[in-house]
Amino acid sequence: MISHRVFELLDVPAPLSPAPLSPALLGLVTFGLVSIQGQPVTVTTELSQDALDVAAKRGTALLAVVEHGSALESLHLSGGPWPIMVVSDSVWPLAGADLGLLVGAEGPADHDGLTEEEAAAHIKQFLDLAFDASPQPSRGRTPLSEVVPFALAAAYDVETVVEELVDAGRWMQLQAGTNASVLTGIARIEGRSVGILASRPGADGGLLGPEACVRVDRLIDWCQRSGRPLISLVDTNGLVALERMEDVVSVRDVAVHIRTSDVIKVVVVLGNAIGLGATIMGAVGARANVVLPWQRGSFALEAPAGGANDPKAPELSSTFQAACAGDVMDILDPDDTRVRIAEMLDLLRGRRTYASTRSTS
Amino acid sequence: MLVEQVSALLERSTNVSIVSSGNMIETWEQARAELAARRDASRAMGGPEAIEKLHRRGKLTPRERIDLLFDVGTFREFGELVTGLIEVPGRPDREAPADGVVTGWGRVSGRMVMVVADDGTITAGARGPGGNRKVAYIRTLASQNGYPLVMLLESSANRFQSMMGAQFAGGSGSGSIGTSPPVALWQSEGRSPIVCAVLGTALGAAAFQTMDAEFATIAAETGAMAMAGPPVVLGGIGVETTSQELGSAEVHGSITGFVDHVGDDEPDAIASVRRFLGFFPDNSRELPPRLLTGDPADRESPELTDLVPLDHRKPYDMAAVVRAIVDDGELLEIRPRYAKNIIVGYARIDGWTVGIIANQPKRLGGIVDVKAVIKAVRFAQICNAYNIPLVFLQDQPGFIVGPESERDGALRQVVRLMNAVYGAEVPMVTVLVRKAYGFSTWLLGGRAVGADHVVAWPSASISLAAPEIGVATLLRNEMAQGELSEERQLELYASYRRMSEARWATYDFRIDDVIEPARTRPELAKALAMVEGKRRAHLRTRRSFDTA
Repeated sequence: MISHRVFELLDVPAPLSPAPLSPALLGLVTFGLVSIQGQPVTVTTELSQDALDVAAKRGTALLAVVEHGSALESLHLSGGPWPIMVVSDSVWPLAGADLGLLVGAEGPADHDGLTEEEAAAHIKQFLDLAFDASPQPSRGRTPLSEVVPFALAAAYDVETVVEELVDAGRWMQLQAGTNASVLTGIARIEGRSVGILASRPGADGGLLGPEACVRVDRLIDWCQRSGRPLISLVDTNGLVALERMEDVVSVRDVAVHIRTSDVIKVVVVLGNAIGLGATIMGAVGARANVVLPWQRGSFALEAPAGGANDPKAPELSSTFQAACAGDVMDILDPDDTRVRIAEMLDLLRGRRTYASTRSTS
Repeated sequence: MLVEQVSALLERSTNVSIVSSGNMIETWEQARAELAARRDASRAMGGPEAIEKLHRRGKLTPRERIDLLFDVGTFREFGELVTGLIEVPGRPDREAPADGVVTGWGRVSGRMVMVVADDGTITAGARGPGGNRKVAYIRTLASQNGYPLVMLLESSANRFQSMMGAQFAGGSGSGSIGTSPPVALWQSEGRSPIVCAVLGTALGAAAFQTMDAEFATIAAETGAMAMAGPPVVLGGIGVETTSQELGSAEVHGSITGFVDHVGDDEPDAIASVRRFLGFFPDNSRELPPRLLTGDPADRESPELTDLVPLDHRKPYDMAAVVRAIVDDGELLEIRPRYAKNIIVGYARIDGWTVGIIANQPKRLGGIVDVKAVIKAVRFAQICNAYNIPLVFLQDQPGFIVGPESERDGALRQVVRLMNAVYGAEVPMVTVLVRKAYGFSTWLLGGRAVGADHVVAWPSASISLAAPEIGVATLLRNEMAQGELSEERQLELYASYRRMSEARWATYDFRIDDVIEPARTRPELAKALAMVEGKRRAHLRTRRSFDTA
């Protein structure tokens, strides 16, 4: 039984025995209230609207450990401000989860092929990162200029960049197993819980495909529901060529989603911000709260004909030109990136509360 | 649609011709050097000569002004690299560092404040499209996040040549690449305070903004505010004039009353901005910060009975009465040179900001005239929008009457006052000091308009009309025919005066109490503490105000 083992590893006491109970007691027992990582969590072995409602009423995260789940019970579920974590041995119950963990098998989950031990560790980590902690002392300047060479053509490891930007060790990737052209995750920056979106310029020639767009969409959804800011690290040469209408439509939906969502969007352009890939990543035309480029790339509507290394590219629309025109408000020194992101998060923290109270008047 | 927009944004970026060092940048070290050089160029503003010229005219650069505004070392410039291009036919193009306007944020007494400061060293403070984008960005940041915005105005106009033809049609502020759409020009009124300091000649939009600001100050000698400047006036109506003649500190401080404060010079004007911000919350959803100065809430002010003569015909200075009551005697008077027969201003009682509205018997006997109402209404509306309780101190013989004030629109102004005070949701506490005559007694914080606590000094006299006027109205015929002896008249006056003594009004709670004048401060502190809940109850509603 996965559930017994996972609950045991998380120190969840044992009221969740599958022993038959009267229907009146069933609700109470099935939706246990426990503390994991200091956070109150509603735990259940059945994923249902009732379970979501109970967690929402309590204002807690929901952890469902579900065996042999069916599509019927999970497809219509979607969460509220508090995270839904689902552990299962099949993909269906994971569909509406903020963190979906697939035990035993492999599939398109946030993490798959897991042992129960690994699943329990991911849950702890997620709960640690999904909530704000007391402000951490600033890590100060980070030597990102040593991680990312100035030359646009040079490769760099974006995971190292993210590690340098977040509080020490405080981040986890979602869907870590796949190697898409973007990575998504959650992290803490100076104690503040944030969603992380980053281009992986090495993958797919720096072009975003439909799968990457789905991941962006899912992350924005989480940021929106949980009220967390989105930090986007952009270095993209655009979208892959799309031929199927359904792909174009879904990409368009993601573009609309990021543009219209009132999530706080702090965008750092590490390299290029080109075409609709830049829009999907929040850098151009996405109503970001702030867009701060490094000096190495350029903004362009389309990738230069000669590819990213076309020597004419910087002349077209360098970050300097964008800054001169007032299209971006400043240019970042890579080593200041963390400090400046933290500063903007501090400055923008009033936005959501302020905007949402306004609509009630 | 999106693609067109993005395309337009990018096109704009590429159309700016900037002077590059010409060196190919290949390493981070070179990139840093280039960036540092550009920041230096931006901070140099219009160059040493232009700065010297500005100084000679008694003015400061935007960066010097910002240093005066913010706590030391807290200014963070944003938009420093924006560079405009000044194109004049027949002359070589020049760069406009920072595009003529310095923008960013900093802290005033530890609290976050946004700033926009025009640069008089570059085309007299006019800016181009990049500068407009910076201003739009900072305004949006202030408005969306609920921070105060300070505008240090030098001219704030658009450079004529960049606003010719179709450019003008779309408005001056447009969004930066991919960032939030800018707020409409006047949208944030009544949400987070906008403060304008007129330090140069503010024309057109800058002047309109000042009219709408929660607080406006102007520097004497150097500041001026008008619809249009002398060249446009000459071209338009053929009259030669100067900026000072059109809208000096004297004009707007004393005659129009469009500015709340007149600074002796720039530092004085900027100091008033810091003082004002100290009294205000960051936005209309918060309470003003409490500042306990160590002045005890139960401190008595025995000097009050010496300050205020019992004889209702003898004038005194109400400002001295206010100062005796409030924390540390600190009162920031609003529009002190306009409608001097009424005092309005911000002060603190027991650390909490209050808005004082007090008649000034030293001027026109404290009568409430059209200008006094204009002054009081706007002040009451702003206090109401920012959760600041109103404290009224009454000593007034009623509204002014007569053909002149009727023609000035007295009726409309009286009703505006009624609506402003009756509609106010903040706590209102009133002290009747001496004369409380006429309908204005109700409107200036009377029970009838919903005041929470009304107290009177023993010297107060409350009535629809002063005894002399009452007798003259009632016994008009007898007086005209000489049937009323002087002795009888005095007897009637005395009898009416006794009837209007405050103590009668306390017997059935038409007012709350008659108090020792010396105990005014403790009583006000106690009353304000009692209505604390009312102050918090309305934090979420937005209340706007008129421009007047």
